Amino acid sequence: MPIAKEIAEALRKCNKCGFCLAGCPIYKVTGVEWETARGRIEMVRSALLEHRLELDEIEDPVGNCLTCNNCVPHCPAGLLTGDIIFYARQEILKQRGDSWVPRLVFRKLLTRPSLLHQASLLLRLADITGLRAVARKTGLTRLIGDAGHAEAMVPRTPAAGGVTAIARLPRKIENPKYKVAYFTGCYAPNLAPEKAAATIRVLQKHQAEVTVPEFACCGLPAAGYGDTSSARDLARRNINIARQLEVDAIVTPCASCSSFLKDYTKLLADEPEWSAKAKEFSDKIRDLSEFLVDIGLVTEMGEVRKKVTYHDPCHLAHFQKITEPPRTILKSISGVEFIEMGEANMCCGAAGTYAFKKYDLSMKVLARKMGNVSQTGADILASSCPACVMQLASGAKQHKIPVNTLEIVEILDQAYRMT
Amino acid sequence: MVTESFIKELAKILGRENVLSARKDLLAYSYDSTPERGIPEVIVFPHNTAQVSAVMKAIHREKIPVVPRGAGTNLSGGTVPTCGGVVLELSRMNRILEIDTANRRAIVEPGLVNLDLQNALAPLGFVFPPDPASQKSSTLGGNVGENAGGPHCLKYGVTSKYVCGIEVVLADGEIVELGGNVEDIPGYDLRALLIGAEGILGIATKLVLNIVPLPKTSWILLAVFETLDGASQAVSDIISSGIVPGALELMDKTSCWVIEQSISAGYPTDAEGVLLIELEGLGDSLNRQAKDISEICRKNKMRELRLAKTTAEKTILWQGRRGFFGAVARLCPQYVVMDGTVPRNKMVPTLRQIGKIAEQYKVTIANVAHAGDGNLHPLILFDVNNEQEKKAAHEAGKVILKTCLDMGGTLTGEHGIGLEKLGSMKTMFHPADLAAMHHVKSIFDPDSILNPGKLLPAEEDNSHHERKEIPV
Repeated sequence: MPIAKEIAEALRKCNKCGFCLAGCPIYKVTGVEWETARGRIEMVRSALLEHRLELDEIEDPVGNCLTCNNCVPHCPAGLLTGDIIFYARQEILKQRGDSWVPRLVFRKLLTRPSLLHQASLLLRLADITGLRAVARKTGLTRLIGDAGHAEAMVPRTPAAGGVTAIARLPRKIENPKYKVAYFTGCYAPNLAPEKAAATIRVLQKHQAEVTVPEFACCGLPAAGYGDTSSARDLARRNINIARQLEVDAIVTPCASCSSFLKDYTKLLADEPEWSAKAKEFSDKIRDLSEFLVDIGLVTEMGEVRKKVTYHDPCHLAHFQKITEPPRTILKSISGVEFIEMGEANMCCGAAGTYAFKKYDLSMKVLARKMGNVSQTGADILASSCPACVMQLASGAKQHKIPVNTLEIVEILDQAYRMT
Repeated sequence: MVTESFIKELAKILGRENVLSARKDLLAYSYDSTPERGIPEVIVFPHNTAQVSAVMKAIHREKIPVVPRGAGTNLSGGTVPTCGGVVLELSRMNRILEIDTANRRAIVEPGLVNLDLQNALAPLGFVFPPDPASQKSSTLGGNVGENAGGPHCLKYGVTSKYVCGIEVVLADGEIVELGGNVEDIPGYDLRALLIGAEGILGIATKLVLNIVPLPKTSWILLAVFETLDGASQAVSDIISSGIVPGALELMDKTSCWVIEQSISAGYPTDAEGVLLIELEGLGDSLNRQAKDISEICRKNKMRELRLAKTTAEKTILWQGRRGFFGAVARLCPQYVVMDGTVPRNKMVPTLRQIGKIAEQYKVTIANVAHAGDGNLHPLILFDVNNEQEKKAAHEAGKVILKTCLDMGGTLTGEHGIGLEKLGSMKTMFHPADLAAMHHVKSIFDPDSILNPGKLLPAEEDNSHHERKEIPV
C-alpha cells in the first residue's frame, strides 16, 4: 500500500528527541510511551512504513490521541502529529471498511443543517417524553459504554433552533461597515440557539451585516474519524455555498470549525480544480475573536465585575496560533479581573467526540484541567469552542468548582446589552 | 527469558494495568533518543519503592536483564534494552515528596520531570541547577543516572553536586539509603558511586536534592564572531579573566542556521561563531561584567554584541539553543552526537581538528558546546539509508573522541557512555581501571542483571550478555 509522500517524510523526520513528552496531556496522566507523539509516530511508522505491526495493533495509539497538537510547539522538527494521526485513522478505516452509523452521520446528517436539526429534535423529543431520563435511570446510557457516560454532558435540547430559525435573526444594518457570513457550526443552532443569537448581536454591534447561510458541517468530525472522503465532500459543498455570497469574511466563534475551514486548502490540495477555490474560501475564514480584534473591538459596554480565566481551545491556540485576541477581548471588558491559569493551553479532554469514545482518559485529562481552574479562584471560566465549554462546564459540576463556564461571545454580549 | 508465568507474577505484584507486553508495547520501549534499538520482553510500571523492590526480587530470582527507564530522552543508548528482559519504567513515580527551603532540599521520586521540579521551586525563589537541554521531558532519576549537565553547570557544577541522598533498590530487591538529608556523612560516599552509573548498580527510588536560590537578575549577551577560532578563544579568555557567567554556550554557523529554521530565535545565520553568555547578579555587577566581556570579545574579532534583558527575549534564545538536537531533524533526522570534553584552552585546536575530520570523512558536522566548561557537542549528520555514510559518521565520531582524549579531555561531559561510547572506554581507560570497575559492578550486581551491556565494555571472557535480537 503506497503511503502519502509528505506523511512518509514526516514519519522519517522524527528523531525521537522526546521533547513532545512535555506537551502530551494523555502522557501526563498515563506515562505510557506510545501515548506520546514520539511513540505514536513510531507506531504509525512501524505499521505503515516498516510493516512490523498490523493496523489493528496501532488502534489505541492512533485512536486515543486527542489530536490537540499541543506537542507541535514542543517539536523542534515541527512535525504535525495531528495530520499523521488523521492519516493513520484513514488507513485503518480503509482497511476495515465503514460501518453504517458514521456513514449516516457524515454522508447524510452533517451535509444538510435541516436534517441535523431534525435529528436534534429527536433528542428534544427524548427530553420531553422523559425517555432520556428513563434511559439514564435504568442504566441504559451506561450500558452503551463510554458514549453513555458522556451523554450527561450534552445539554437539554432547546425548543426553537436550527439554522433556518437562526437565519431569521439578523436585522438590517444601515450603512454596514462589513458584510459577514456567520458559520454557525453544528452545535450552536441545535443545542444552544441563544449563543448563536448572541454571536449575531455582537457582530451587529460592530456594524456588520450578518447573513446565516445553510452551510454543511465543516468536516472535522469526519476527518477525525478517518473518513477523509466525506470531509472533502463537505468541504466542496461549503465552498460552493460560499461562492454564492458577497461577504468580507466568514466568521465563526467555534475554534474547531475555523481551524478546519482554514485547512481546506490542505484538504483539497491534490484536486487541481478545487485548490484555488479552497484557498479563496479559507482566506475568508476568521475566528470571531480574531475578527473583532482585527476590526477594532467596540468597547462601549457595561461593567462585568468578575474574576475571569481563559482556557485556550487547541484548535485556536495550536492549530491557528490565536492566543492573544481572546485575552485582549476579555481584558477589554470593564470590570473584568483577568487571571491566567496554569497550563491554559493544555487540552481539556473534549477533543470533539473524544469524550464519547474514550471517557476515562478524557476525564483524567479534564481533572488536571479543573485543578488548574480551581487554583485561579475565578468566577467565570471563558473559552471559545463549544466542545471545550461543554466539557469544562461538566468538569466544574463534577469537581464542584463554583465557576460559571461561558463562551467569550456570551460574556461580550452580556456586557453590550448592559449599555 | 521472560515467560508467560513470569509476566503473570509481575501482574500480581503490580496489577495487570501496570504490566505491558503486547507487540506495540515492546516496540515503544525499544528506543531512546539515539538510533540504537533493542526489543524488551515486558514493561512494568511500579508506583512505589516497595513495588520496585518486589519486582526486583522476582527478576533477581529468574536472573532476567532489567533496564530502569525514565523518559527515554538519553543520548547514548543507555535505556535501550539490548538484552531483552524487563524495562522498569519509573514515569509513574513522579511525586514531589517535600520541599524544604530552610535546609535547601527537595525530596522527589525519580520519575519527576526536571522542569516540573523547577516550576514548583521558582515561585519559592529556588532552582535545581542541573538543566539538561531535555529538561522539559527528562526525569530526575535519569539526570542522576547519567550525571547530567546543562548550560548552567558551568557556574554551578553537574548533577552529582546536587544529590545529597539516594534511596536505592539493589539488584536483589534490598532497599538501602545512601547519603541522606545532611551533606557530610562519615564513611564511604557510596552515593557518589551510584551517580552517573547509568543504572548498572541499582535503581534510585527516592532522591534528596540540593536546591539553590534563583539569581536576582540575569542578562543574556549574544556575541557574534567573524571566526569560530575567535569565539572559542573568547571563551577561554572570559574564564581566565575571572568572570564566571551563569552559562556560556557556543554555536557554529550550521547550528545557528538549524535553530533559525526551527524557531526564529534571532541567531545570526551568516557568522562563523556565536556565544550565548548568561550573566547573573545585580544591576551594577551585570553592567561591569558585560563591559569586561565586551572588551574581551572585541579582541577576538567579535563583530556584534546584543543584549537581552527581558524574559521574552531570554526565553526565545534559550528555547532555540535547547531545541537544537531535535531541530536538526529538519536537516537530517539521523545523527550521532559526541559529548567529549576538553580543557578550555584546548578548544581552538580541538574545533579546528573537528573541522578537518569532517572534511576527511566527508560528513557534515554541526557544533554546539557548553563552551564554558569545554564540553563539546559535535553532531555528525548521516543518512540512515546510506550504509557508507553511516559508517563514516561513526568512524568520524571515534576519531573526534580520540582527539578529545589526546587534548587531555574526556569521552563524555554529561550524556553518559551507554552503548554508543563503549568502544572508546577502552581508549580512555587502562585495562586495570576497567577491571576495577567491573569488580565494583560484580559486588553490587553479581549476576549482571542491571542494565547489562552498558557503560562498561564487556570483558574478553564475559560474553553471556551479548546483544540479542528478539523478533517482534
